[in-house]
Amino acid sequence: MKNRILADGKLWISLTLMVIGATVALMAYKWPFRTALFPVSIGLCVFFMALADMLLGLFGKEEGLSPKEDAAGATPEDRDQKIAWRRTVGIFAWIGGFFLMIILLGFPVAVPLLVFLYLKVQNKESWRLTLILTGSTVVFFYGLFVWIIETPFPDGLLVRWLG
Amino acid sequence: MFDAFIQGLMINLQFKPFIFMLIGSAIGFWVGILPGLGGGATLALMMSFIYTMTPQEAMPFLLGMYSVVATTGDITSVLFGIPGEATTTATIVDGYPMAKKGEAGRALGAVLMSSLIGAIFGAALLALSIPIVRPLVLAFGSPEMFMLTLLGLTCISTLSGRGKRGLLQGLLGGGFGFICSMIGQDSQAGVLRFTFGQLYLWGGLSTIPVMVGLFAIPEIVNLAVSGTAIAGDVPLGKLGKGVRQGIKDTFQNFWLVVRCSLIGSFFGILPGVGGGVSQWVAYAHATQSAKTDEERAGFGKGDVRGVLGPGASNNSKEGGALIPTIAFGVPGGPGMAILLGAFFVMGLVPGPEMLTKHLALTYSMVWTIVIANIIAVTVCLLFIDRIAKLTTIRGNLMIPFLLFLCFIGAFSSNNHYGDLIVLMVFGVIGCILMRYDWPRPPFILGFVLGRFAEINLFAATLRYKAHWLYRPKVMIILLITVAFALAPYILKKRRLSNEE
Amino acid sequence: MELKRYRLLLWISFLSLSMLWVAPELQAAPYYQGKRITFVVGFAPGGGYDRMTRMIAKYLPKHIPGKPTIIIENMPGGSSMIAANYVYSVAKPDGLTIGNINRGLQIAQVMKISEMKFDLRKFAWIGSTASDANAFCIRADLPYKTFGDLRNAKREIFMSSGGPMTSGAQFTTLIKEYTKLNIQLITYTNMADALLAVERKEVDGNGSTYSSLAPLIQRGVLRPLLRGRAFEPEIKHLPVDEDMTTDPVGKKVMAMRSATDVVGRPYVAPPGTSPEALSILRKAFAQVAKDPQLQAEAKKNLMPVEYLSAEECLKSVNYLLGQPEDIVREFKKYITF
Repeated sequence: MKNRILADGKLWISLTLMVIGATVALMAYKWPFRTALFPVSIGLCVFFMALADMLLGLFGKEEGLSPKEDAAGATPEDRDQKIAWRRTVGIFAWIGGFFLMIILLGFPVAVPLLVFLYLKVQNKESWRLTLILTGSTVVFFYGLFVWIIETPFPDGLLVRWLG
Repeated sequence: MFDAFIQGLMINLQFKPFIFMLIGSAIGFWVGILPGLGGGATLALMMSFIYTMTPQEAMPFLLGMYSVVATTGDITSVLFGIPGEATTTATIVDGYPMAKKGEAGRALGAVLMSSLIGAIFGAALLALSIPIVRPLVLAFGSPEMFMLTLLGLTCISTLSGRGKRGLLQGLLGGGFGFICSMIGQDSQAGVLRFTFGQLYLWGGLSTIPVMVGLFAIPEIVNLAVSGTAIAGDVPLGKLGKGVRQGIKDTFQNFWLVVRCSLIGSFFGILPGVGGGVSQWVAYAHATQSAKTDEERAGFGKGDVRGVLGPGASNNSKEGGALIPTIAFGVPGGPGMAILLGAFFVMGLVPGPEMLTKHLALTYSMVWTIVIANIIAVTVCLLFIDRIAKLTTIRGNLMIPFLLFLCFIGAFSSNNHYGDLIVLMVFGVIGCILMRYDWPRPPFILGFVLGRFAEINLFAATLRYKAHWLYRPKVMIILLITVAFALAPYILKKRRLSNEE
Repeated sequence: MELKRYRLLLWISFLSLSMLWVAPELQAAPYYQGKRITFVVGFAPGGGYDRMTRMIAKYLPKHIPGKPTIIIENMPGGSSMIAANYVYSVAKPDGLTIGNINRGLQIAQVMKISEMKFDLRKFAWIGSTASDANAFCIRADLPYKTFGDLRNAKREIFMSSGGPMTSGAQFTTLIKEYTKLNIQLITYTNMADALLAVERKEVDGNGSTYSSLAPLIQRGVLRPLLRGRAFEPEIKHLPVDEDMTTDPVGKKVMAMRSATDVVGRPYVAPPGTSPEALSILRKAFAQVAKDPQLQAEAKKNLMPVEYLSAEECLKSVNYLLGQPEDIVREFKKYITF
């Protein structure tokens, strides 16, 4: 069952690459010869190789389709799939949320806010540890990136709207 | 020449140059370790301080920083799976799995010692090649450069998975990387390719957000999913003892380290190609040292040789990259472009003068690379226990810090939010590839080499028509490429026939 | 009464003297005192634009009353269009942001590039710190001593360039099209590789800016044969590209391209910047360009500095943008952005 899912996932990757290869070749076709040569050639190669991969996946022998091992040697069967999926979605939500914080509030506010919220809300750490680590982050971030290097972090959108 | 060689050492051992070199090395130590800081950008910042220095002080200051960055950049790659620098990405492939197995100390010992050997090798090559450096660089025209990119692309097959399907997937990854390299303004007619009306994409995708996204984000996701420390549930006692084993591994595989240093230096000499590629070619070569299929399958899961190869080549390439920079004023890499600016500020004109009138200063740069790395590696080895223990901290505590370092590192490329979007997109792609056991290094090779291959192929064809195919150096490189591609199969056949 | 008047006189004198003594503190502080100016450079660190700006930023504060601090912010992308868009629309017009943008943006506006969200004429111009003349150079070891020799060449002349949009590529392309010289332009990864190709004798020459070719010219590797309308003193004696063609349209197109060389290193502030701040900045730039320390450093760096006033810059920009449609159409045939 797990192998089927793996196989399906790989099929989706092959299909996506087929679409990308074909799109690239078609878009490039209209360009001047030298501009189009590489995109068309590589696009077509990718298309046909992805097609071959998809056919191998559907009809070929299942060589090398052993369940993915992570480096610690554990296999997916060892972990609760639902928890793993939930945590994956969760971490991507945090990544996306961090990006939004940066856009709205700017790096100097978003960075300590991320640390604070992640530790307190996600990890449910103690107030002491959360505040110590957040404070260290502020010192490190401001000391290095703002004060010494003077990285030009733009103001967040909210900050700009307010003033 | 020998006089200048000794004079160069004497320059570095004077009080002020030595102090400035120490300060530069200290800065480089942290720049390499922190993914949010790049060696090139830091060089640009340090330029403001050199205006009141003499060349004998400024060069050790700048080079002391820059030459140490690749050494300590490997530390982050091993400990966190986040490339400390773009050129230390290949170290992640086996270094991070070693850390996850609780062998962080061993991996760090190996990468530091191989980095030191690589740095000394690169510096020695620079020193020895000074009489022939100009004809050496001039020997490689656009046809030869194209063939060398082909050699680099051949490594895709070596870095791919096992079996026919593994090879196909590797080639697909390389092809996809090639497509991504074509985003932006084309080099022939200036036509905008695949930019979808976005000004940000005119210059193409930046390397750092792509690499950090492809390699670091999936590891952060893994940490969140596993809920453990980086080193998993491995008992504490095991970590520090591995350092000695790592150093032993370096000397047990000494000739591999030397060959990878040679690869790094060679690619460093070639302007433009540089460290982005040499690390992967070195890694591919390291995988070829596997004697059995089972050994080969161990690469990517924590084989120390997968750490030794890139570790050595990353540092040896710095000495190599100085060669075209000093001899021609042609930067051997992005950091070298900024170093060139420093040359002009100091009133030094790169070219024959640097190899004649200012030969002692050139040799002092060689010595800076050696001495700075010896100091950096010694300091790292003294504190390596403490450094390695970072892998025992709970993953959930590390995540927000690793995340913000990745974001700042990506943002610093161009100070543009587009880099953050690229980071996240490639983060998703990296996770998908990792989930379905699709190799990622081939993508990087295609991405780094694609544009370079295109430009050089057109340059060669426009200049020489079809005759470039018959040039002697082209044919030699072609033979090496074929040998490189076929070596695993030939060695396997020989092994099988010996067993029979 | 006499004593009272005398005391009054004494007090008035004392107060007047005190006023004179504290007068400087009572005067309005200079506008830039305690402030920070940000230079937004449209290119990555280490390049020509970045190096020029850092060199100027080092000496500029002493020529601005109040001696503000200066920081450099690199904002590469879109050939500095991202930086230009930012300075035009996002940066506050408070005299604290100065953009250092690509002179090629003049061409972008001629070609009406859609991603361009600014009008060069509406920037608050500060000026330009260099003109960046192009020189058509051939390898000194080849038997071509004049442009006329090249016309008689029996084979293709291979010229290198660092990219299709560079001034070198544009300059060389127009020479090829309008003088009918048998040129094959070969693009390399960047300018440094293009120059290496010259040293390697893979190509016969290069037509880039004089500042980038100067080291090879000084070493005797390259021989300059032709220049554009803009010039540096060292190449003033060379014939001009426009004179090598009899095509009147060609002459106009070449003149158009040369106009971008005149405003070689443009510095602009956001539209609506106060006249007071603008006046201070323009004066400071004019003064810093004459600063002997800056000039000495510029000489060391092979980056000549010469101030062109805002009025002159705008004159050049308006000349370019005021060309008739047929000339612009002809221009677009050969020049890309």
